[in-house]
Amino acid sequence: MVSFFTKKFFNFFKFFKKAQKISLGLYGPPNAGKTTLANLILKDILGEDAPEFSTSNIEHETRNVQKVEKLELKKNGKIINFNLIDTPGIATKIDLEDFVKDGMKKKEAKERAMEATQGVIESIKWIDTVDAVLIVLDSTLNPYNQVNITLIANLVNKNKKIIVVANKTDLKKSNTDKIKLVFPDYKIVGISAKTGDGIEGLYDTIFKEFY
Amino acid sequence: MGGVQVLSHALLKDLSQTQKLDKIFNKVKLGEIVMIEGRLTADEETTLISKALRNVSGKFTGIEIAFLEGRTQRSFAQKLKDSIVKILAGDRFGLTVVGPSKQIKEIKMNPEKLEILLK
Repeated sequence: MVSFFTKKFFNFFKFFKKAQKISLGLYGPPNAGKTTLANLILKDILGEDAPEFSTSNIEHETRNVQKVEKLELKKNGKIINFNLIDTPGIATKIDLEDFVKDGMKKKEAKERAMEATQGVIESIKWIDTVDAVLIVLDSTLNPYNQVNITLIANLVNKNKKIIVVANKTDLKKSNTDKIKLVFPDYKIVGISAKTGDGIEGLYDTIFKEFY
Repeated sequence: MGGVQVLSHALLKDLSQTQKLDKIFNKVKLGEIVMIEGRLTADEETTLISKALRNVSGKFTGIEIAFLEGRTQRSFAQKLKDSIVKILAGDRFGLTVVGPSKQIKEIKMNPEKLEILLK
């Protein structure tokens, strides 16, 4: 009898937990396609009225945390209410000379380096505020590096739910299997945020892992 | 400067996190490549990265960091899996390399070896 009421009591709160909003963060190294993915998700949910964040081939295009609130992802009669948080790419170094090599003038490069530095620090601070994370990796690059490992370990340490998104599957060099080999304990979903290929699979996985 | 320093686990184990990271970072900022016996925790690594970025200037552009797993009795897949787990609590096994990115072009990592490419 007691256990029956205990069960009912917890189910009651579980219901509210499910109805709660989650903060979904997009994390990963620079130029992995986090913002392209954010734009794709926003367009899928909000249609043509969706805001579009700026993307670029030059690293550290996103230098501030970008947040869109009150989003609803619907699939098979289920709904996830969430805030989407697109973060600047995590890096351990920022050299203005790299921006100069990419064609920027020194003054502009210096400004971008300063903003990018602040962006990474801000990104790290925001880890505490998100509930679930899509770790976006460029599947054409070797995933076994310390930034990726540190990022995942930090999120695990803080009990965040994780899905690893192997982005850029439209490119020839894409190797999703390597990401699966390096991070065997996590759900890995291959997508192309550029073409939209694989996005439904990602939504399915979001419902499985975060709902 | 620009040499290589190897710090033993014994040298760092009784230090607070701040003291430990200061000790490592101050050497790296002066241009040293620091090799540490064992591994930093996830929190220590993240704090070190934030600390390095707060100090970015024209002369100092950040750090390169990598970890080499120490034990060799396990399978390749097990080592990869453990690399995530071990970082949570810190570990005295293995070797952590931290260096200034002005001097280190890249550290190529795999669970069995590190290749440090200098500029």
